[in-house]
Amino acid sequence: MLEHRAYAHRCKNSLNTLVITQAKTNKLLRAAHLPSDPTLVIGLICLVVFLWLIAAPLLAVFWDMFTSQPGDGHRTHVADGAFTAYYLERAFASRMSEIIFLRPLMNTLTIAVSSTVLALGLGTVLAWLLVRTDMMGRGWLSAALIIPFMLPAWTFALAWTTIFKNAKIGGQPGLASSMGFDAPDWLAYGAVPSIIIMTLNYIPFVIILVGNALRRFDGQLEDAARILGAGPRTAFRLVTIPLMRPAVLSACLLMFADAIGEFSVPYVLGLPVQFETLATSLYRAIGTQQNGMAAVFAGVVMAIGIVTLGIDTWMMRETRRYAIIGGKGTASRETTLGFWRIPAVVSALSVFTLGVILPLGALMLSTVMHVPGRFGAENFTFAYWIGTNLPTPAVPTGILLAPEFWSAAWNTLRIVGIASISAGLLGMVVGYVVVRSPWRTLSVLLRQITFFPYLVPGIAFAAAFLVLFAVPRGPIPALYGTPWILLLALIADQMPFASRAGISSMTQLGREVEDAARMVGAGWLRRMRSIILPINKGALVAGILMPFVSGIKGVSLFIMLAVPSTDVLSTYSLRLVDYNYTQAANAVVLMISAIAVLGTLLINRLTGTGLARGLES
Amino acid sequence: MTPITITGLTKHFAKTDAPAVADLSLAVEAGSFTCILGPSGCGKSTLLRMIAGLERCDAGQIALGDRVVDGSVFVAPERRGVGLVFQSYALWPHLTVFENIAFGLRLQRVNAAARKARVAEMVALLRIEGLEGRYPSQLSGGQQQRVALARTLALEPDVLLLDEPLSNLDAALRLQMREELARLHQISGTTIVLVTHDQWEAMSLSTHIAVMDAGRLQQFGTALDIYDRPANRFVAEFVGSPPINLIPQGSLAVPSLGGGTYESGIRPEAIQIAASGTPARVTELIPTGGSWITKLSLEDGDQTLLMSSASRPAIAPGEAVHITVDPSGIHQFDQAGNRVVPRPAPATRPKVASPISSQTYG
Repeated sequence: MLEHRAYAHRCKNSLNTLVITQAKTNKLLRAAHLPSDPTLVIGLICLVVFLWLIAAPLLAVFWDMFTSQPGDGHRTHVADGAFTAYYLERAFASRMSEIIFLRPLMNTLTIAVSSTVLALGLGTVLAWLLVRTDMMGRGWLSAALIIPFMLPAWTFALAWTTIFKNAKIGGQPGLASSMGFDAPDWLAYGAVPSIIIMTLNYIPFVIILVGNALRRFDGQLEDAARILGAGPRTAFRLVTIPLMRPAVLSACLLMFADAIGEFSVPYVLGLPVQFETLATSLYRAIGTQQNGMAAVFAGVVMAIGIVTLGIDTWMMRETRRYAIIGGKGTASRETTLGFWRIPAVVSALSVFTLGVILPLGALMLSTVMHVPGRFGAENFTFAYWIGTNLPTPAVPTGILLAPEFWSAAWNTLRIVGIASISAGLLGMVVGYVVVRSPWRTLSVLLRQITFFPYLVPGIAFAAAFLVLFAVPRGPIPALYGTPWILLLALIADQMPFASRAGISSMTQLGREVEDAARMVGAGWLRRMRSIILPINKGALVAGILMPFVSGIKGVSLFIMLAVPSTDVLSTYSLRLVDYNYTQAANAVVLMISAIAVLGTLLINRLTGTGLARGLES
Repeated sequence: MTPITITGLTKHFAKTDAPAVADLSLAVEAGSFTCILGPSGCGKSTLLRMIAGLERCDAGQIALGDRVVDGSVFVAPERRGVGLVFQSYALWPHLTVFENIAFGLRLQRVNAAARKARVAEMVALLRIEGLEGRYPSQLSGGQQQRVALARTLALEPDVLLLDEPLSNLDAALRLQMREELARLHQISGTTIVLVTHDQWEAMSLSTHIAVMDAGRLQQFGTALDIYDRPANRFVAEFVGSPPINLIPQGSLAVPSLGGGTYESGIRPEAIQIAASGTPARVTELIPTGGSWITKLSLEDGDQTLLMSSASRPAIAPGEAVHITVDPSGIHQFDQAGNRVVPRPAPATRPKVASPISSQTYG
């Protein structure tokens, strides 16, 4: 989700002006539009679809906050569906507020702020080491340190429990515990490990964004200060830091917004010590049929997300006031580390060890051992991958032989794949309509509504979908329990990225190529099929693959909307966690990680851009 | 009034084998306006950055006045008293015009009132009054450049270095800024070193030109020296527009000035249409605004020549004509490309066009 956010965000800022200019041109050309041009019709259909998929669920959440939910009559003292302030009162101003709302809010803010600040500090230092110094092995390290970004965050949460699980909860003990160190609760569960894991997961994001800003930074701006009498430190303080600040703050806000909605990490690590965040409270409220309270949590999470990203947008606008002027620009000189070369490379390597080797190593090790921490030959086994007749009743075979695994894998591929392809194609259509629409308001509306899910954390969006589509509404039957609800939610959730990608490539395309086809007599469908789509093939492939990888990693939407019949890999592994089948759960997570990493590498190869570049521009 | 003395300067960048600057020696006079002219990638910007202290040399020495700043010692850029105006101006986008200009003064702990006075002076000198509160992105290219100049001049540098100062400007602004730079040089008397790939910029601004190619100094002299007495084939070819006609010895009968002549260069303006001379055919007439370029092909052989003239020549494409060449516009080079024999100084030589015999010289 984070990569979507960053991407969509940059696109939005850079495209606004272009699109507006295009829209003006369109207005002038309106008279020339042939009646056979279906742009307007397609645009209106898109608008209706997105009103239904995006606006309606969010409005439904808002509605649920203020109306008495079925079965709550004895609490709200009004009829089902009538107005009530009961839910808001209960969350904000009752004896229970402390437990129900304030503590989860404080927990959420604690882990979000701490992990943002820590990731920012460590990530900035690492970015600087990688970009601006002569540290050893920079080429290799700049690829290696990005790897955690390709892995689902909860991979690290599972790795953490695999290592530090103590005697508090049942099942197999953790590695540390069976080797004689029984971790205290604060280290094994709750806030501390959540903060550490989210920090490790966000560090690559900071390295990418701040590193790119450093790389693009025109070294002449520092040189100019040196010439005018500033020493290296003064030049850094007066020129480099102020100019880097917007990129750094923007990275900060994007991380914070993402951390607020983070569900999987506190879900895995918080349960044993009743450590609740807004996202897990929301999940629990849904699980216990408290739709009204769920709506309140979703509303609060959304509000924080919207405010944070609003601040970010506002800051970007402020920054544009002194937009960096283009120039040849020379690369900045590298700082010679001298004595510090060794400590620098050691700290970079230890971040890599903590962020990649230890978690993946622990997960892998756990899948080939009967009992954790016992290193005798008789304890090693591949049974959890390919064995049969295992003592675990729900999954009696190794996961590679388990039909549930393959059906979950197939479901993942099918649901996420179809959703990604649909989102990618819809994004192109939206891009086309936004750029070509003769009616400017339609452009603006479509652009904004497809961008909206970007402001709403996945878990809140899933809750909104559940609220709207769990029961039949008008001609739409109840979708809960079918793959449709997952599919639609995924498509809607991926629209910000997909539509920005579409608008971006359509804007670059310009209208001449299409006009040229029209001049030789090509109808609209022919122009689409033979001109527009083939030219945008590259953008389309990237626009499909990126949501696909993100969808594979994602948990929030699935855990809310999937039922056993629509099991996907992530929910399957989380259920195995609930069963305490450590080996099987970890094996599934490793498979997901492998798909995510390979998919990311494939995107890089296909689009010819690194992940770093894909995040921006 | 600081001279710059450069001796045996060499700079290698790790990645390339060829040196960016190779064994370069140059004595820039105090108060002169010197251009370093050369094609892109010839090492001229590297030379400028070494004078500024933004790069360190590998061998050789740079001295500003009596003070060695690079070589046995290295003086950091902020301690050299050198001003540098960057090609892309490198204005700090987060600071206003006022703050940009006052930056160096602030570092020198000049008090606010004096700072304000000095900025006002600079703003007036460069005619950018009223822009003090703006950010660089709100300025036009010409205004940005003036701010960059003001920022540098505010500190009264001993030496002013300019990196391609006119290349990012449009034609009208270029002319205006050229005058401005000439005026600033007159007012301040500062030693100015300007780097450019544009011969017009070099010719029109400087008192001296140093032509560089492949990291080496090719020729150092006044603008007229460079044009009238090119030291080698490269200088002859690089300076002059339309470019000099290079013809192998023998294809046009030019009397050899001495042994070893391999090629002759004939300036396009040295060619004239005459009643008799070498037969040629007009292939094209190209108007270039103020002047005309005529493309000619020699009747014997497939050699093409460019002739330039101030007015439209009274000939038509396809016409057979005769041409003569003013000997002062002929330069001869040996196989290594070096000038063969310096011809006599222009003043002592009679300005008579001598017809060339159509015989092949052998």
